[in-house]
Amino acid sequence: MATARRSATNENISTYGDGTRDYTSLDTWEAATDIDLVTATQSEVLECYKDSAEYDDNTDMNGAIASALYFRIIRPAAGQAHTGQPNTGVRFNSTDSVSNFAIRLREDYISVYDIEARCTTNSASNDYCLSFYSSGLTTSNAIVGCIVDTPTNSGVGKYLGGIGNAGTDSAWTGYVVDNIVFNPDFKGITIGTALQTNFVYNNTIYGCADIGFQLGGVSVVLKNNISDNNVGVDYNGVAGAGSDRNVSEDTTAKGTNPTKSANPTYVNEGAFDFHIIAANAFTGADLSADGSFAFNDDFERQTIATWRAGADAEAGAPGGGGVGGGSVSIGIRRRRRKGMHKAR
Amino acid sequence: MPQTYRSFGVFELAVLAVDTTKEDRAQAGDIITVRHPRPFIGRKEATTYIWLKVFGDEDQIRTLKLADTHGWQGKRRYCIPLYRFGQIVPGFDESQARDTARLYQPFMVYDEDDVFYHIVDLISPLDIHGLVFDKNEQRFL
Repeated sequence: MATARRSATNENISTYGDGTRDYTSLDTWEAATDIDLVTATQSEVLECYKDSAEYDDNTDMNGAIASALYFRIIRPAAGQAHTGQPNTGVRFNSTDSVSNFAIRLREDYISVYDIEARCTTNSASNDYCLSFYSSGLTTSNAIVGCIVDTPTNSGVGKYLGGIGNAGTDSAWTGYVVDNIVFNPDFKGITIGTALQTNFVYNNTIYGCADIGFQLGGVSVVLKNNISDNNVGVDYNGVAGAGSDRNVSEDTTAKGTNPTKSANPTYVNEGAFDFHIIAANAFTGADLSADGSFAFNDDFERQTIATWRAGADAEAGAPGGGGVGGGSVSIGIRRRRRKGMHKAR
Repeated sequence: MPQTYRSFGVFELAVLAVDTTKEDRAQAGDIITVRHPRPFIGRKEATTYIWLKVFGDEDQIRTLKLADTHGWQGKRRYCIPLYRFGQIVPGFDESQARDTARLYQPFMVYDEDDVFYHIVDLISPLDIHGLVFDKNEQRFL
């Protein structure tokens, strides 16, 4: 079985954290590894340590020549990833109002795994916390297992979304898998173009101040996603062929076998634990042999035994242990009102 | 620019000390990162970058690490030519700065009592005006 966290060939691993590590800045690693990876037959990996509760840092990844074998990855070092809730793993909280994102992916095959990302900015532009380039074409990027926590732009009339593209045409293709995005002051995930195919599998989107999923074209394949408690509609736009088993609180879930007007219940949404309670889980499509992106591990890096919708539904501990699937305390459900958007 | 407030302060820059192999990538003098000061630099950052502190308007300083949108001046639009340091800081040695085999941080010292690259400032934060060069405009700020 395949993990959703793809390894690269011949990984040259550098470390990130405090002064005991190789790098204390994402940008300096990005610049140092902006090389022709294909000619070097080498991949560059930044393994991050939670030496600090969070890092005020961001980077725009661009320029390296990559391939399906040789590419760049940002991921936590072993034992440093989140355990299913925010503030438990490697966490970036960018306050850079000029860049207005945590990580921008504008190079082929860049992959970001299992980090926590947040932005707290005061910017004159709209953007996304994990951002795709708004003009230009990249291929096969992957964002897997990430927590996007309350990206907020206090600029008047401006916003920060979760994962996506601030441009009008998301000329991008790739994989957005096993992520949880909650409480952005804009859209949760914006993705799609008529030019490329994108695969959006097993994500949980919660509490957006705008739309949950904004689908920019006909070629976004959505499977096993949950979109819940958003001010705007849970899904907007046209989903691609093959979309299956998506869940919405309202009536907008896309694809075949949708669950509409659902009421997802989580372990403790008040503490941002969006593990779906087993008794109320939604059946998901088995993606372990998916023709486009086969995988069998969830948001907490657990092997999926029973396929369900959402990022976090498998019982057991993160990485193969045990957040209980049923013995839970249920947080207070804080419902947003549809249509109550941020003042523009 | 921000919509509701502006802030001023001290920020830390990393300036690349050596050229990379291709003209369209980062070159010596390019400003690679801008951040709130941290007490550490990393092991691989100590010999390849010159670290310094500057002060001023946050948004203007944050802009200094942006890409060159024209695409023909390298990866970064803004740089501090290494010779400029020599004009400002007495004793600055460009050849030592370019030597990645040695730890040369003219604006900070490595605290030898610390196991980290824990840095101590040698000079006050600099004003970016007259220091930073805009490659697009072909002039100093």
